[in-house]
Amino acid sequence: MKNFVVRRFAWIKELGAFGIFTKDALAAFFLPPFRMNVLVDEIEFIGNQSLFIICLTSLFTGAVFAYQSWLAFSIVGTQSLVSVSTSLALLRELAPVMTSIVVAGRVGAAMAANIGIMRVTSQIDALELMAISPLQYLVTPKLIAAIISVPLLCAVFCLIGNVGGYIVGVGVCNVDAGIYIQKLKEYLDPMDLYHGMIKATCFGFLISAISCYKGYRAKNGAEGVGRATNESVVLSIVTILVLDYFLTVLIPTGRRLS
Amino acid sequence: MKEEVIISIKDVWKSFGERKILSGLNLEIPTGKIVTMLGFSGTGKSVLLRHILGLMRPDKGHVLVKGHDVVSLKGEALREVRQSFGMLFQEVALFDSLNVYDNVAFPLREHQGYLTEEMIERKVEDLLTLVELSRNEFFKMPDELSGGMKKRVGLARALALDPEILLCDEPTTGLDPVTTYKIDDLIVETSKRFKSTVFMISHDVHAALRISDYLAFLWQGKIIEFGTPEDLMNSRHDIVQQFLSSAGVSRKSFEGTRQ
Repeated sequence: MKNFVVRRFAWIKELGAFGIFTKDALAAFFLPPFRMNVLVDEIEFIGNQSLFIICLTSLFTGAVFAYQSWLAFSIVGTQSLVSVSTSLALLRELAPVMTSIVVAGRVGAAMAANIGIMRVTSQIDALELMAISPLQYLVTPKLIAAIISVPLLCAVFCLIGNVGGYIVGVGVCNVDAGIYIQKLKEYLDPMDLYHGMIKATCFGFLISAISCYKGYRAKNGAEGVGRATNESVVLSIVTILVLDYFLTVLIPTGRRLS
Repeated sequence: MKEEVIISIKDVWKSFGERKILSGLNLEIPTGKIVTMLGFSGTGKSVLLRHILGLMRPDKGHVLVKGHDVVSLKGEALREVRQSFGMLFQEVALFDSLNVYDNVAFPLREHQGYLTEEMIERKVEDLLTLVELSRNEFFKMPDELSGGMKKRVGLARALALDPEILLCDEPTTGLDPVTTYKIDDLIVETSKRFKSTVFMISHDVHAALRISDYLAFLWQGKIIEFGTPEDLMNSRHDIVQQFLSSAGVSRKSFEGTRQ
């Protein structure tokens, strides 16, 4: 009976361990030594090295959304609203969610694999024995770098996604260029961008925390590292999609809804 | 005269589930000596090492390193004690994202911030020369090195902070006899040069008898024999004699290795 209860509620223990792990890693940011070079390297890896794939996915996401919106608006004869619907969807939903999913696949998996391999080959033990906190050296820079980089990538996604939407809206669907821009100016609010950036910050933090945690707890050699990597990506993406709903409801919209 | 003790393990118990690994183990490691622990595979030698390093906590008992009980230490206090250790891992555990030079320089850069890059370079060169690595190997990545080379880099890294205690987990497992001999000699040489205490786990009984000041034999979670190589050879425990004979150690070969 006791074993059944322990197994049934093991996730609560896991959640607690994750909370402590994340808290300790964040707290370590405020303690010396400050390794700015490691942080800059991580920002370069998460941000700069993801730029190309973010530009590519955002361009086509914006393009396809504009086309689908145009098809839908054509039914009711309001094609001029293509720009607003595309931009709003990009800024508030698509950019933070798609950016985070791309980052979870590209960066989260790499984080979990990297830390996992270090764990199973005793490199983390070696750090501990050199009296270096592995959390502070390995995890903290990744957490902070993701918090900084993912919202910036989200902003790039918004920009390039809108370019994709404009190309399709104006070039393919023949919406007037002037009206396209005019509607954006009329209906968009800076809060729409902030809304997406706040979400992206939360998602970035969660992706790195989940991936580092999974990698840090990896065991049983290559198989364990593979499992940790897989779990980190799946858990990150599911968490992003679930949390997205709650953040959408909780973050103020910045506009009056009738 | 009683020797000064640097590591003292007192009544340590450890189980994994139903399986008992250490059952009231006691061991004292004298300062400045080379002590090797022998025992069959899976008897808990590496588990004991992890207890000394504070990487594992016992179910019961105390592990005193220079008078500090690592069982009750945490955070900064534990890190301070760990600065006395240099560790040569069984799987070496070199940082695979850093080259040979940076692996050895890493603990210096982290802990001796007052050192300039020139001073670090001199120290790293000194250590890598000591372990007989040539200059053109300094900038190779760990996966470009042979097993023996990796062990030597691991030893150089373990010695970077001039540790008082050098711990080696099967330092010569998987190496050919010539490289094994070299690594063993390096351990003796470095222990003399840095006046370090060496605590080693090994399956290489011949090497252990040749270089150790003391040997400990772990069986069923306890040290059943502790003494000089001569004492071990004269052990009254059947299991010790069985272990020695299965490793091909005879009185004659023992006298040969000690000469």
